[in-house]
Amino acid sequence: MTFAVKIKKWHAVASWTWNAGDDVCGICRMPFDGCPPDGKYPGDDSPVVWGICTHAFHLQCINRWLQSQAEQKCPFCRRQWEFKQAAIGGEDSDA
Amino acid sequence: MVDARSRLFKVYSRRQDCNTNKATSVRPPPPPTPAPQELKEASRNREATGIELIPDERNVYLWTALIKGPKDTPFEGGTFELAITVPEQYPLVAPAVKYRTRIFHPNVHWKASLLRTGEICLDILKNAWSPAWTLSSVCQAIVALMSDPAPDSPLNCDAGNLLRSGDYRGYNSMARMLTCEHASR
Repeated sequence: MTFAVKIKKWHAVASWTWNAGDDVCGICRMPFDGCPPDGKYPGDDSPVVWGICTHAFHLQCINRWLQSQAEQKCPFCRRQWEFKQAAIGGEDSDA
Repeated sequence: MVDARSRLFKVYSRRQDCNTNKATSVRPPPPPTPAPQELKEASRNREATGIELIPDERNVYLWTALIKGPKDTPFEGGTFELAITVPEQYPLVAPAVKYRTRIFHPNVHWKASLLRTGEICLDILKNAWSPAWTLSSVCQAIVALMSDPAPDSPLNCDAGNLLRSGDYRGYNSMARMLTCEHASR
């Protein structure tokens, strides 16, 4: 027995998330998928960045912290902060 | 009182609406304050740490913390009140934390001057501050300082000298007496 199904219309649904293990930014404590206090929109407007020490923050948050400091250190581990090059496909997630 | 606090949260939810571009608000966004997240963390940690964090009813930048003297210290059994002032640039700048309750400890200022009484000498409140700290974890660090005084960088030289000369009995009895006098409720 076979059904002949005719699709009249369909809705595509997609979701996104930053591939960041910890779900809130360690500086502003807002979710990575949301935005920092001064950000307007989540997503590309509030990017998440990683340091070579594998700790992640909102780009705006870590930038403001580094600008206020003479020494460029990770807020979590105090190691020298250097931006980690993003890997395509997100396999560099520390999750 | 309930009104002021609920307003604080309402302001926040409106800001999140702004984030998702759903609501338009004529009011300018409030300065970033730690309130909701800090409160959430404080209540989550409250059982484990015995630390109570209370925001001021009218001013989100002023907080009071109640911390308990740790076990096996002369502060055991005492409840100490801390006055926390959160700077506008928080968390890029450390909060200012002072003891409101008198305490005999080498790293807490004893002099009865209006400005310095209760001042705490703790690296994370000064040059070792990092925005990864929260009000709750700062209070935990202060509790840890009660267990591990650093007599070599004293603000209270009498307490520091007692420890440095090895007179633990003198230090303990003095500190315990003042705990009984000021921190017992």
